[in-house]
Amino acid sequence: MRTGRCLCGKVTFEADTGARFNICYCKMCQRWSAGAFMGVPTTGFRVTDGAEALTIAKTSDWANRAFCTDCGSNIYYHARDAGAPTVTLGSLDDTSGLAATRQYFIDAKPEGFTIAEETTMMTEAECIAHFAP
Amino acid sequence: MASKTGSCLCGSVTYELAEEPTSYGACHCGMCRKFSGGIELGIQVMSDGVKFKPTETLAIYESSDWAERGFCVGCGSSIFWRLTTEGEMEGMFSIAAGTLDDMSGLKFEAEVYIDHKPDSHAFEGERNRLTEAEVLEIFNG
Repeated sequence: MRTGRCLCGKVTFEADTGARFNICYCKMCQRWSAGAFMGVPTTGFRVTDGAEALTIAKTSDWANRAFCTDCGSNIYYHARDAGAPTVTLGSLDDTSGLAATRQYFIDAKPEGFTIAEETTMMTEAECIAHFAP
Repeated sequence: MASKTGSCLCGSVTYELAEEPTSYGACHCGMCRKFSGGIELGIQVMSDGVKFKPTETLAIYESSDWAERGFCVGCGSSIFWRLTTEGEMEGMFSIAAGTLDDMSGLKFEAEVYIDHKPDSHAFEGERNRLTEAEVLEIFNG
């Protein structure tokens, strides 16, 4: 189990994670996360403090994105018909042992930007076929 | 080519840059990683280099003694980091590159706070990579 929090510390949480994180370059994630989204899938997520400061915005037909209302820190992405939310890599207190496993919307990634790690990669078309066939 | 206009995810915060951008940088500091939740890519413009359309959804958080961060209260999009200390560079923005309507043609020019980068990821390519101390020297020197 890992813990996490926002910049101002109002919102804290616990999450049950595996050892992997994913990167998404779709335009929605680019706009939300300043460049690209890095998310750690969880099998359980619990707000431990500051639930009243956590805004959960319905940002598309299929997903919500949660952030701290006071400091703007991005906490999670949640495809509503999936299980538990995917927490942002940056919100975790300790990211040791986590490795990049997948890159989504690889054909939309910012020009000149490539991560050094090897991962599975899916194009926009492959993502749509996989997640919303 | 890269656009001069940009917006947050829900479209309520919009801006126009004075000039077409040519490059972006990445910041690895813990605050940028926590604020954006991902990879914080920024386009540096001076105070007069960007105009935001007036909106009630652009919130500002004073994140440190020397900077503030703008985000949308509707969707949580990270919009900018801005230097608030007095001096030549006061008011300088790092506008979130992901909010640009079109990032084509931009060069990935620099990485900063490279000594704060976690082991979980690294970015390929040749470019300037500055430590925290080197960045602070630029801002204070």
